[in-house]
Amino acid sequence: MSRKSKLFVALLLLPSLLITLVFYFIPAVMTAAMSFTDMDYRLSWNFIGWDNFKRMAQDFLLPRIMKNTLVYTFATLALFNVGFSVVLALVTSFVPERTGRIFQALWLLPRFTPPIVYGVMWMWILDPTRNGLLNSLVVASGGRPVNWIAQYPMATIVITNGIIGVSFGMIIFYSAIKSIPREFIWAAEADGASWLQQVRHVTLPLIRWPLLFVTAYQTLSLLTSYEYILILTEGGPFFATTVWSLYAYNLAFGGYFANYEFGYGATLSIVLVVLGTIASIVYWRVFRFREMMSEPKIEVM
Amino acid sequence: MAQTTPAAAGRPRQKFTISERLVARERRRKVLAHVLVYAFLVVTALPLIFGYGWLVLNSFSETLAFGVLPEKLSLKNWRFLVEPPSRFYPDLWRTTWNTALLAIGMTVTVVAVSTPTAYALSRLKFAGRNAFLALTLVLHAFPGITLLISTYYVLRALNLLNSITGVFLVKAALMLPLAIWVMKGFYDNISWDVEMSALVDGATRFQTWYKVMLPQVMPGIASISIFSFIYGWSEYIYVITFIQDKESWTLASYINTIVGDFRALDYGLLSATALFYIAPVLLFFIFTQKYLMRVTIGGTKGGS
Amino acid sequence: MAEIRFKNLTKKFGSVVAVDNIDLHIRDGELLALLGPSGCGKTTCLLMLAGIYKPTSGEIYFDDVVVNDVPPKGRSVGLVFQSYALYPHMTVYENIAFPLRIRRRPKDEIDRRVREVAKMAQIDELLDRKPSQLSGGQQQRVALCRALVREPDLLLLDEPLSNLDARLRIETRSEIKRLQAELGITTVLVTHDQIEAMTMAERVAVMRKGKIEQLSTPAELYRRPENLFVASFIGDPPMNLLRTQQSVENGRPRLNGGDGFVFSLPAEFEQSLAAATGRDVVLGIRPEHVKIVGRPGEHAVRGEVFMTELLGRDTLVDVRSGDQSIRALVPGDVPLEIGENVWLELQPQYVHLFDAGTEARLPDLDLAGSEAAAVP
Repeated sequence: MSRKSKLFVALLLLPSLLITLVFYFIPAVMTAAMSFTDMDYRLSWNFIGWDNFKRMAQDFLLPRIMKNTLVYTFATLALFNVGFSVVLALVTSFVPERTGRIFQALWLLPRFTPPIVYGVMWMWILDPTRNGLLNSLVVASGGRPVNWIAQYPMATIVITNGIIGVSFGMIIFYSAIKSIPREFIWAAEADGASWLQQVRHVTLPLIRWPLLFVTAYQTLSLLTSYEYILILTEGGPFFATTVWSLYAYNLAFGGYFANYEFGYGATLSIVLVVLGTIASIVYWRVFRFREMMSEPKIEVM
Repeated sequence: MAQTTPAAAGRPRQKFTISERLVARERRRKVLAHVLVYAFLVVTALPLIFGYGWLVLNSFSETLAFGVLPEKLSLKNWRFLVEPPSRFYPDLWRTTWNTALLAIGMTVTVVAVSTPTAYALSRLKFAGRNAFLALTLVLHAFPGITLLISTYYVLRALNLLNSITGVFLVKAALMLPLAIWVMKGFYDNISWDVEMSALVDGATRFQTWYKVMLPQVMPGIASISIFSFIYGWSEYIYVITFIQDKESWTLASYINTIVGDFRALDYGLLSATALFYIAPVLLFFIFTQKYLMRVTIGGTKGGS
Repeated sequence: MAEIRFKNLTKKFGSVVAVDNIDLHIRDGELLALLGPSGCGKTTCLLMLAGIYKPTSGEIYFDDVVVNDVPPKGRSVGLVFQSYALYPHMTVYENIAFPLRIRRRPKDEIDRRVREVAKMAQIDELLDRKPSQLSGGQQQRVALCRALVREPDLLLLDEPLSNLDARLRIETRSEIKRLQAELGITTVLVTHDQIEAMTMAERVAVMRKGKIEQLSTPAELYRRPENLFVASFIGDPPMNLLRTQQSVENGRPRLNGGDGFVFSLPAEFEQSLAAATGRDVVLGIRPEHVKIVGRPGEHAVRGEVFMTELLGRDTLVDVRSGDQSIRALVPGDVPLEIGENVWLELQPQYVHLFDAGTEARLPDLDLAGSEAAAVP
């Protein structure tokens, strides 16, 4: 390659490389380094060896938090991100296209709604007084107001996150379903299969790759996201909805203790970073992304 | 076929009646299925319909009967447009401007950085190309939010805490792998013949990119721009965590504080500010859904 | 204008050899066709001429200059793709003007030349349209105009007619040829369509697996294919190629095709066959040179009609003779029954002989050579 063309490539790539370095690599390395310090609000690098990891092993809250994390992740995944999104994809591909699009748009909307606005909506729906939507219905039918979030914290975060999560799978499954050759469906119809039988024996087997893909991707994103939990419950009441990632966040910045425990927080984070890195590499292998790397056909610059 | 016994002659007629009944039953079942499907769609969407409907209705009324039906129209809740909810709050328009700045800054960064890089990855031969592509794909799946704690440190070191610039750079970085991936897809779809023609016509590789390729990936640029803008505009967690200074607040901080101060007390104010905040997103959403879908699908190409 | 030379030109993609040590001389002002099946390396040659690909080894000369490392913009080349490759976001005018604009020519010159070339190609009415509003034929003309507008030294055409419908193809064929002759521009045409190559080019290079199998005029290619590949590739319907064993009987060479197929050649052919002594010989004869006759003759073989296909003007008759299958192209609609016994006359002056081992043509006889192959 000539010097001029090297320069050209460098110019095109440099900004991305710089950003990747500053906002991925340095933070990743730094998280690892921090996890061996007792860094606090003073942000000083005081290395304490494996102390944070020992603390993690003895942290009496962790078993509870791990349980929360697993319940939250897999309940949301099964009920919404995969389960309900398959149903929505099937149903919206069953009705006329225009109608289907309207409902898809409706389900897509939460994903693009500012999280705090989405949070405010749910605060109103689940309000513990008679001002909330659910409680006004309860009161109107003669009941007494329920403190929904306090009484059903896990259900709250599963449902609120799940409603955001359905759109990803819905869109992918919908386009996968739409790309199934019509002949398969006609053949099944000619064989006398009912709609449900078609779904079970034709549609679902044909979209098993997208299903696997969405499951894998969404597992990772649910494991690491906590924004909406932070807004609605802040992890409470008393750690009932604190998941691993939120625990790490709260240790560093959270409202509960707000004691700027960057060191221990980083230790908890590094677990997720390692997990995320491994998972991302595995996805890349499993989903055969390599096949998309076709060689350029022009050899000159 | 030629032979017709009396018995055989009678049978077709009987068959015909049966099939007619079958057709009718089939039709009834089809109608029932449609009714069920529509009912399902509407019922499951109720929380969304109520939620967004409430934002609009509540912000323009004094009280809601049963918490749902508006009773008295009023603009009282929109007072915050001229007068802050309390002395503690910064100027609303400044806050709005900050929010726009975050969105625009993120959009410009994402487009300016991903467009050239995606071109190089899609079309140019260079050492390390495959490694770079692999990196992009792995980062695309990597949950960047897990780096939040150390990012705080990095921003502080760069003197970018409490600044919109710091947040939009972080957000742009998080969006970058997806944007590169989507843009690469758009470049990949341009025929090689066209690019070869431009070279033969005398353009340099840079001119080819600039004059021939860029105009053809405009829909891609539009897609990632809208996507970035909405995500920048809506950003919550990085704003809350990295920006304390009221001068740099965005609408997310503003409403977050209203939630803290007036939660359960003044849903009128909450719904009005929330509607104010979400309005640009709604407009974008209504008019550019096609582009948004494209990124959502484009970002996950290859999974299916 | 330029003459082009390939010297030991080789192009590899990884371990795949696309172009294998080719020597070729393209004369100034000539229209030369690279003809071959897909994957034979013809498009690779074209893209090396354009400067898109770099040769792995060997040289390309434009006149006396080695251009291996000259980028496309440094070569004076016009290129028309099968897909036309028009810039979709530009109007027809902007498309044609692009090569001039990129060279920063004065505006009035650009305008004059764009209109000139558009007029020549009869698309001056379409200058304000976008490519998507044009028919395939019109797009093709725009592409041609864009390639010609800056009067390149070398015009490259990559399957330029393949995307046109049959009638338009015939029209455009002669039009491109006329334009090329008028401008006297050195032109390389890449195609897999032998009719396109034979009708347009002054010389045709038949390629296979990265090598040039034969380079000659279309007539020569048809009359005197130099090897089995060219013999089988050129001509439609293709040449009959019969694998036989040679022997001599009564001083006359005989070709034995198995199960009673025996064909005797005049004594002179012995010299010719001597080049393949002890090896099998492939007897080639074009279907149009096979005559169906009613009675045995000196150069006739016996056979049985296996199938007939009416092609319109002619009928293709497939005859089985011994182990061999021979197709004859006869004018008109012939009243032949399947299973009918016929005699096929294979006139010696139309016979091509190939060495079955080396696949090369056996040396021609001087006396047979000259009129042998007057095209019917």
